[in-house]
Amino acid sequence: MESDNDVALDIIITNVVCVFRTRCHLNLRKIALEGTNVIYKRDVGKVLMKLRKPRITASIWSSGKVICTGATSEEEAKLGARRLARSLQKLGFKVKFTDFKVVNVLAVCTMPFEIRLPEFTKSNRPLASYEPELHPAASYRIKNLKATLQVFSTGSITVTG
Amino acid sequence: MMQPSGPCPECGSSQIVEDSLYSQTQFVCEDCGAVVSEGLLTTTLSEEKHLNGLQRIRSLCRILRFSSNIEESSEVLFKKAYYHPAFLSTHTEKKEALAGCCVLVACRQNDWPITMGTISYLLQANGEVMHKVYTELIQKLHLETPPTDLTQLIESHCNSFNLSPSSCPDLFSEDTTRLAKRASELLELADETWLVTGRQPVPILTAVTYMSWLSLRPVVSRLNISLINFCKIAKVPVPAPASKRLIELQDVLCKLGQGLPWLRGVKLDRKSVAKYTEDILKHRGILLRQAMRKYEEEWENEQKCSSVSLSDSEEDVQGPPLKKTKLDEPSEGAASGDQDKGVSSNTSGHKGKEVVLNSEKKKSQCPSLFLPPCLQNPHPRREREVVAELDVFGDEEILDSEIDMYIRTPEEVQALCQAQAKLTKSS
Repeated sequence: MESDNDVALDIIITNVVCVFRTRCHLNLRKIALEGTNVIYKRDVGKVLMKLRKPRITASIWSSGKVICTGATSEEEAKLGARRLARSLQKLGFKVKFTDFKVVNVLAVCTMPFEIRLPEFTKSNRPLASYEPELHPAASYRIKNLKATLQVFSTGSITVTG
Repeated sequence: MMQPSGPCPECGSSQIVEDSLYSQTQFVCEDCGAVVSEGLLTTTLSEEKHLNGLQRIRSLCRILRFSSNIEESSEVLFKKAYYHPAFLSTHTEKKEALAGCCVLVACRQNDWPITMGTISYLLQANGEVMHKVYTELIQKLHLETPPTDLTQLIESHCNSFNLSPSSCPDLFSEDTTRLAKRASELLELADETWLVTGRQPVPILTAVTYMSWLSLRPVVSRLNISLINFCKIAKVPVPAPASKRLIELQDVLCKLGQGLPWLRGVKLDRKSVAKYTEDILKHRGILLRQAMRKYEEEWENEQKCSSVSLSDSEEDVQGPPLKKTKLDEPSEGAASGDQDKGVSSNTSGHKGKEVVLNSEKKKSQCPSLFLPPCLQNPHPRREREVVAELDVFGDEEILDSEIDMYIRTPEEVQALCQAQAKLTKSS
């Protein structure tokens, strides 16, 4: 690649997953009854609560563990989690916002060129693996960053970790 | 070995000895002869399943006529994997699939071409379970499995088609060696033109075999047989995406066929291209280069025309698309005279400058003539709501009014309870 043709690549964060604990037991039936934008999944034993701003979906378990998904930045994820904890507090539970942790960040990037996956896999063994029968993309694992990249033949790359 | 638990229940003696009767171990009291315990198992359930798995591997290797090398390495791998904590306490279905996955890994490591679909078909295993077990096996045991080359698979795939003179009419029968040779040339062409990367192998192999069969004897009776009917004649299942792959392959052949001098003026379409496939494949190297060069020249001409027309009318440009460059000049003249569009022309003039900059950047990046089909025909995506990015820090104060919209009022809760009670009464 020539240095004159450097193209800035846009890496867009599409999803941030975080967890936190409320350190108290939660009555899922009460949340389902008194909360709006709530879906009670009785078979799985959890409640799904959707916030509008920031756009976040939270899975709430009776043990007090909550997983939030759908945020587009870590700060947004924290704000959404705090807003959720505050809603649960208003519902009457003695909630404490503890053990907040960002668990996964998903980002997408597109290369301005196509990629020949069999050749890419051959030259990047053993970090890269490609099984066309299982998935159309080659997966490339970076151990020290604990990240996985899904490389598609169209040049689109999905980064998770 | 089991030990007798406690004294004899009949006489209370502690003299209990082990005695085997017809290879069944028993614990017998020496004083009164009462049988204290019997029915000691020679093998546990886990060991039996392990033996079943090994038997499955052996029968699979025999059916597929693998060498002893592959059979031994798959047995060794199965023994290692079976007692790994990830596979020890799992469902029987998973353990059954594990045997097939071990055979697949052994084949890959010994460069023997076989697909996962073949093994799951022979084992009558669920494809999804096979996939999960295979991925887990590779990950947990840190195995390296080189991917199967499709050119090696084509021969075995063609051999699975029943096209001998005894099983179908003479007009449809074909020698599998010739079929495989033509099919491998078509497969190379498909690989060059981005039809193979990232796709399932079996539908491509089926499409390529069908095209090869048509082109080896492009008579009317063969050309009228569709892909589905061809697979019925050859007694082979039709994978669902095979018809799409066939269309893509035929489009590529049509694009290349236009470069042949003796086909100028001939109408090339998907049905008739089979007649000229032999010639196209013979000269495919030159045809590919010629087609790409011609496309690049046309693209550069369009770029030059569009940059000239944009620089001529910087104020009145509305970001014209590349193909419509010649039509822009009269429309630009009309726009400049129209006062109502004054504001829009100013803003579009600004956009025009941006377009000029972008086109200059893109000059060196001519798009390829052959692209992965999903890029050539992108799915019409629904326009997603553009959510404004929130400028947040994570630790802002949260107002009560924001939280109140997520909580029902007591009146709403009462109404909901009443509605639920009515629903349960009526049901």
